[in-house]
Amino acid sequence: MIEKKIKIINKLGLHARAASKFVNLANRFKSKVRIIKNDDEIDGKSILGILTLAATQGTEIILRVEGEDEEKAIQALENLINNKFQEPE
Amino acid sequence: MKKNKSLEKNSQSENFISVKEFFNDGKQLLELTLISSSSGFENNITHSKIQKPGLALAGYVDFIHPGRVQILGKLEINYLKELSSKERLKVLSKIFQKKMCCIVLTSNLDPPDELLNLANESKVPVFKSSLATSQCIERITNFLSKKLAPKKKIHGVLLDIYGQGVLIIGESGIGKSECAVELIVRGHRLVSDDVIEIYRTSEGRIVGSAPPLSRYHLEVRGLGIINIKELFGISSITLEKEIDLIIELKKWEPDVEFDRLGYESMRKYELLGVDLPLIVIPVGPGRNLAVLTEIAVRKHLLDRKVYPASKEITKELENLLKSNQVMNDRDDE
Repeated sequence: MIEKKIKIINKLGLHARAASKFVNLANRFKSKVRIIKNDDEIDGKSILGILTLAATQGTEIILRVEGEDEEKAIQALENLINNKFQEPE
Repeated sequence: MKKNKSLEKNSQSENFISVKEFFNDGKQLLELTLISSSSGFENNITHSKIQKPGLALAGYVDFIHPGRVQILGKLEINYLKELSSKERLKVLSKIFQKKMCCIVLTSNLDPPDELLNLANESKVPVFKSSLATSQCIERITNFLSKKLAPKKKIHGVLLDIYGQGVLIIGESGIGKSECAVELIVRGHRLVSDDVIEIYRTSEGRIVGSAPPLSRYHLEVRGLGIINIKELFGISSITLEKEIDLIIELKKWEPDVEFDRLGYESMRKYELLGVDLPLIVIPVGPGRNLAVLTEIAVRKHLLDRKVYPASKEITKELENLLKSNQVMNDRDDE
């Protein structure tokens, strides 16, 4: 299991399109993906869960990935967040 | 709602709310108005039970609890008003030496000036409620016990099936939401998809509801997020439901053995320190999950309701046989 603290840096935060990109990417991996914000832990492979986090710019989340391809998965997901979900701002 | 993190897994986890949250969320229900300054809004309420100062007004202040809402009713206020202003100040000063989170005056009573001054000095917010004392106490206790109950967010789908609160869990992608859609089409009701907020009642029941943002919604891969209330109408949803049964959908793997006789239906799953009955359903080709879930609920109802009855009838029969035996023996003599 790998855990990593990541800051949401894009302007709009985890908005709907960003969330759907995240979910699609997470689903490409076999590992379990969890997002933790404050005390709430949600499934990173499901869009409704991510939307209920309502994570704005500057929010710190913890990614918890567990499974055979965990290293690849956390790397890819972290890149997505740090690249502002590949969206122009 | 804040939670003491280190105790998160402990069923005794100590929760608290600030006086600010108490006022903001409870002012309508409890008919509160703030009559002091708002300093002390960061004080914490830790108990759902209120406290009436009673003997504290006579000088015995040892048992004043800082985390409990102090209630002053007609009796207390009239008693205070009958004292001379010097005595009143003495008594109240002693009380305010103790830490208190906040004070609520019931029946729209006005506090003596000394009380308000001391409250402002010691940063104890004072509220006025138009409710009668007994009603006010009842509502505050109910309101706080809900607010202070242990709570948590979990992943799964919560439905009302045949009046039973059924929580479907399982890995993402296993088909929980698809199973839920089919159950809704079959006339059952959705509480929440994906994220479920649960809390434990004082009776030790687990109650689940949807976070406001995802309420009425469900995600089906390929269709996206759909609004169940709009698509299927008001009778297809329910806001809150006690969880009676947990169904886990599990990938069918050849080397994992599943229950074949139904003897293991007494398996348990723990939520917030409460054990709930768990049924594991293997997912495989040709298995209609919605129908299987329905049957699992029927079976659960049957296990719970009919089994004791059958036990009872067996017992009655045994008693009858025994007494007949006795009579027969007598006849033989």
